[in-house]
Amino acid sequence: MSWTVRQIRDVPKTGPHWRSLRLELGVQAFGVNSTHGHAGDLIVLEHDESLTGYEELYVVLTGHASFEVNGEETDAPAGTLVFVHDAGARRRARALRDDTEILTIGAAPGEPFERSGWEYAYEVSSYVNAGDYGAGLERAREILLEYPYDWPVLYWAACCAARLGRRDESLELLQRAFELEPTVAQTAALQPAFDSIRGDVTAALA
Amino acid sequence: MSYETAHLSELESIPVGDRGLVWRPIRSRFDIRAFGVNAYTAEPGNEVVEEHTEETYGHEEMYVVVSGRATFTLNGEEVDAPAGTIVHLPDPSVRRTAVARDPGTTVLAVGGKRGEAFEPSAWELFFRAGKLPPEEAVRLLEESAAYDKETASFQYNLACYRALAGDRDGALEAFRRAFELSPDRVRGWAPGDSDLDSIRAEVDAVLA
Repeated sequence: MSWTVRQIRDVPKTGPHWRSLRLELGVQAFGVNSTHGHAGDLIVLEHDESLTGYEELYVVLTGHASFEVNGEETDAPAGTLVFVHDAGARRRARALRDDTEILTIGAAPGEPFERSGWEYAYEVSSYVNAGDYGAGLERAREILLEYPYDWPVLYWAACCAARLGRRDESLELLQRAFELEPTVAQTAALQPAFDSIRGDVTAALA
Repeated sequence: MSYETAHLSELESIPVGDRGLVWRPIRSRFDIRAFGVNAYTAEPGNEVVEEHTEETYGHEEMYVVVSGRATFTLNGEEVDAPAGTIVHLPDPSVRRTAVARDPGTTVLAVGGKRGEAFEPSAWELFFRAGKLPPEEAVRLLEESAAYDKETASFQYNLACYRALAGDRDGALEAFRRAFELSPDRVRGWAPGDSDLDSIRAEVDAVLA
């Protein structure tokens, strides 16, 4: 078949909000994903695109969201387009209504599209969610050979290492993630995988 | 400002062709440089995606039905597409079109070429030029700086608008350049194109 037809809501989520449309459809010319959630959910996690250099266009398909870009809030009902051309801008979006779906399209100007390590991070997180920490850490190590600065992969690798009792490796991975993305400290504080080394984690990310 | 926002309903509305298609430019509105993206709107029975292939630009395309309902026709096969449907077309040669079924149907189109950096395509200019008087269309094409003018399609369209505007010499110059750039494609476009009637004898001589 030379084409694929899907309903966005039928694309399974990886994690609580994320639909990996690009991987699901096999898109190779640009990045495209979707996030879905209900009132109060942070469905676009705070991040910037410094590592990828991506321009990003967000399209609110359903519901109602509130975006925050570099600390400035923007109301975004269904049909709103939010284009962030500055890869360094910090951005996030929270659903204000149930059944809010945001389509995200991204790529770097002047370069052929290359997949972001973000997608790999979701792959590693799925091992964590399944309790298969050994396989998750092994896969993360493979990915980090190609994307050594991908902080979400580093973070999930740290979770795997902590679950496997590899304290030093976990702390080293977590510190590398934290240096690249300071919000890792807040995320790690709520992550049960680090409970066995909580004191060390708190000290390392202080 | 590191970001910009707009609502789909606020985008410019540019009628294209004679089948009720309305182009809502997004890429040019935000000056997006990394991928192609635009929206199209139509009322029931009208075209919401014009019939075409992507062979000229080699683009992989993805359509998202944002609101309403459309019927896509892909290589002759019909596909029902209510709001929330994604139609992904990795193969540029697939002939594609869509007709709106519900009032206010809006379809988002995203495109780019695999393995290559995105470049804005001059069809955006041709869509804008379509409803203008020929003299204004010529000026729009000649003064544009954001698109690659050294393509057969650009020079061919320039030739057409110059011919319609009565600039025979300019039309022939652009036509010859288009033919140099892609003889096969120009041979496919020119024979039945009434835009070139005023320079038909010269066109036939180039094609001979």
